[in-house]
Amino acid sequence: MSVPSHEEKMLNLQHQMRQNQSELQSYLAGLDDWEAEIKEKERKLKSSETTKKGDLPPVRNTIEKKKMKKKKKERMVDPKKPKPISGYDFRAWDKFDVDKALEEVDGSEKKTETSSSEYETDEEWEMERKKHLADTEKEKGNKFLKNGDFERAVEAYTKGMEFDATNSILPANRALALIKQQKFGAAELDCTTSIVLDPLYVKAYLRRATARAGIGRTQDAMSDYQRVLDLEPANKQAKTELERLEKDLSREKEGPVQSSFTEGQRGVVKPVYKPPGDRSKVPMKRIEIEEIGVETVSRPQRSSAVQSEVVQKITAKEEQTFASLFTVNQSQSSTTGQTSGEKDELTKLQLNTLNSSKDHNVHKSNGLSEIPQSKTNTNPSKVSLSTTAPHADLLEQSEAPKTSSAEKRVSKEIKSQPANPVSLSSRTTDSEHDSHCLPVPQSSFQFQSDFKLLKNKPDQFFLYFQAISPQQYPKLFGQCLDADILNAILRSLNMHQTRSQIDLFEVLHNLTLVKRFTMTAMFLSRKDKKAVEDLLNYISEEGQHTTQEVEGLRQKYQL
Amino acid sequence: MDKPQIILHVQKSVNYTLFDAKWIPCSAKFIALGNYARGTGALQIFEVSHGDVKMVKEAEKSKSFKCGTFGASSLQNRQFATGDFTGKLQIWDLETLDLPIYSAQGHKEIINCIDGVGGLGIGEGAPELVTGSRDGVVKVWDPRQKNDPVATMEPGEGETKRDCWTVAFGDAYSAQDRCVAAGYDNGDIKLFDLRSMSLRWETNVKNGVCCLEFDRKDIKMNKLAATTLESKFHVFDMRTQHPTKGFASLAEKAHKSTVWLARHLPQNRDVFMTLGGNGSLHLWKYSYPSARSKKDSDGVESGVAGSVDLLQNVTLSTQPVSSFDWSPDKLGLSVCTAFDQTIRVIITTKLNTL
Repeated sequence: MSVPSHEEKMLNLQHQMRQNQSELQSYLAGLDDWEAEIKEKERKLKSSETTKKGDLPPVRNTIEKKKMKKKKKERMVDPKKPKPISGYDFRAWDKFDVDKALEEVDGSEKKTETSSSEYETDEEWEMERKKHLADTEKEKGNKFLKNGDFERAVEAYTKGMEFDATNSILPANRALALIKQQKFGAAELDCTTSIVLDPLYVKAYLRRATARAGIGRTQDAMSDYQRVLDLEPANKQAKTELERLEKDLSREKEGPVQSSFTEGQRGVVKPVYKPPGDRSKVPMKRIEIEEIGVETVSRPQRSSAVQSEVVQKITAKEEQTFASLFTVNQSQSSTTGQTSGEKDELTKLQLNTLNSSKDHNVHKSNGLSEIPQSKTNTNPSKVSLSTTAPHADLLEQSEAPKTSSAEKRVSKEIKSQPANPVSLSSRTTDSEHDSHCLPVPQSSFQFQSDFKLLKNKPDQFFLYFQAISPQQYPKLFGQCLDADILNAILRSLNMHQTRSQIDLFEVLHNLTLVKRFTMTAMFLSRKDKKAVEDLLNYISEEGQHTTQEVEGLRQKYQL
Repeated sequence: MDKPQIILHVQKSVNYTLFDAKWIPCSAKFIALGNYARGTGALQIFEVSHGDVKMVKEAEKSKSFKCGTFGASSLQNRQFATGDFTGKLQIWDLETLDLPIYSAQGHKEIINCIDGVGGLGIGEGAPELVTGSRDGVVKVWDPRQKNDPVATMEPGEGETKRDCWTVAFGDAYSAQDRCVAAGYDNGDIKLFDLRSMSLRWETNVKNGVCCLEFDRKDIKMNKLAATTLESKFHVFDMRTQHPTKGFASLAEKAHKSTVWLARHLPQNRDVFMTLGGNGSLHLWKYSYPSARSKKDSDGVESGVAGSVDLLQNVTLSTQPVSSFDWSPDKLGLSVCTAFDQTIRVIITTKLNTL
């Protein structure tokens, strides 16, 4: 029986829909499997060792010299190649087929030719590229030279020489540009370079001769022309110039011509004396000298009006994370990093915060927010300071678990620092009475930075050092005691031994407990050892400690 | 009757404008980029699992994101490069989104487009990124070089600066060879050869070029798809370049509105999806001609364009589709974002039988 066409269509459609449905179902089932599979794959990817991909090609367009890869010397003996025949093995030579050997040689030459046309290694490719770049620079320079723009021509040639130092044409061309600018000395040098690279380069000799004639070294110039004539006996320029120079020389011998132009040294400006009547009547002008190269700290004004609070929050957060990184760098290069302008601004801001709000929060978070504040506030308003500060506090807590251990350490240091906000500001403003403000250091970092400030003020350093309890030394000096610091301590102790209230023995003993003390002790100079000796004598004179104890110390200081 | 079906699998509304979405290689996750109404940047990571998408991570940054790519990152690290509204190029480590691991003020204005090559095992040679911006400049970056681009393509002095809307890497089949194609708002398409550092070819397709994509980045240039305003797209055969005529091409009308994007299927380079301003998706298949090049009377070779067939179309949204990305790991799985603030995960069936 036949099915009507419209019914058949319906049936087909139904079939199609069912098929699509089943297709989709199977796809979705596959998708679930795939999800599990890919998760596993991803987990493996994360846990697997970082496999460094082989050498990546160099960064594009860098001029710096790449490390030359050591080429494997092709010393492998071709297995097919027969052993060379000994000169005494005449029977073997009888069998030697000369034609075949010649063919082989030809064949191998052909092979090497084809391989050399392709730059197989990066270095070769790099070299070729640089040569190409040097050529384009040369073309540029030539164009400039033609147009009379000598300075830019010199620039182009210089660039070209950077790319390819072995090209003899580049320095010679630069010399030409320099001669056109009447810079004969430099031109002569360039010509010499060019001649060193290519001793048969006639143009370089010609130009050097011109340059030498320009600085009055006629004899040398003549020898250069002579050399040109040796190389090219028909060179007209050399001939005529040589004749001219000879004439000049003979004329000079006859009687020096008085000419204001040839006289005197080149490049020396002599004062011009004019009688008062002839002098210029134009009044003197004052020319302001601007200092260049000193960066002014100008920061873009942000359009704060349109930004909503959330935006500010996020910006502040980002800047804080930056700042925490920033402070790491700061702490490492503690004093040199900042420009004085920034520092002043910073201290001012800090004073502001201190004056404006005695809020505890601000005190605590001061350290964390100090840099963002100085960064963001081009209009240092007290209100914004107090609004961002509590945020910083909050964020500090919320972010702490996320940050890596290294960052944590930094933040700890930062936290410990702001316990003395006054000292920070006083350090930057006046360093005269800072020793009174410097509190007992809590971390080795703090001690180190304080030490830098007090290094050259033994009295203040002594007061400062006195305040530190000896039990803290091992913690304070951390991994190792710097020889510099130990010297300073010993010296100041020695200076003030009589009027000190501290227990000298305790101090010296605790110093030896610092990690790797023996190392530091090894570097003590004779002067320092003398200082220790004095101190130990002083201790034994006091008689509070037994001689055994003193003797023990003596050994530890390697006396 | 054995046509592929395009089926909406999951959709998810978000509270920001979506600009880009990319699958994270070797995972069932994707990243969505966009901007909140308050002008901040949104970056969210979603995971597809059991018929649903779940957000697994999010970050809000001060500047709006426009575009992103994994192209220059290794499969191991999967670092995501983004371009933002202020012209900054940044690279993010997806594990720690607090700070970018690379940041450079690449352009003076918004970065419209970004592409990467050399990572993920796709393309020979150095990992490189290319960005195109409203300031008319195309810059090539190497993540190993701080702050400065490794190559810059900008209009000469006196020439008007055109808004660069799209960039694409191609021809990266050896360590040295590499090309960048850039499309501009005036319909210009320029092909820069990074090996010789020169402009290799340029043409004008009359309407602003919204998207350029090579069918494959890591082979000798084969095909280049270019989509334009005024509901048109072009496919260039890039195998044979005629000294004067350039590359052969075909043009096709589609979508009845701007064709925003063309995306080639990673598993089959002759199948591609185009996305329209009216929220529609068209699936095409390119057929090669019997001979891909012919010799003219002077004996110079020129290319021959093939033809395209529409396999399937579907309209998913009333708003333009802003991005589309095929999953590199699962055939037929894709994600697309539209200006109706919705992310859609789409399934295309029967792609393996084409």
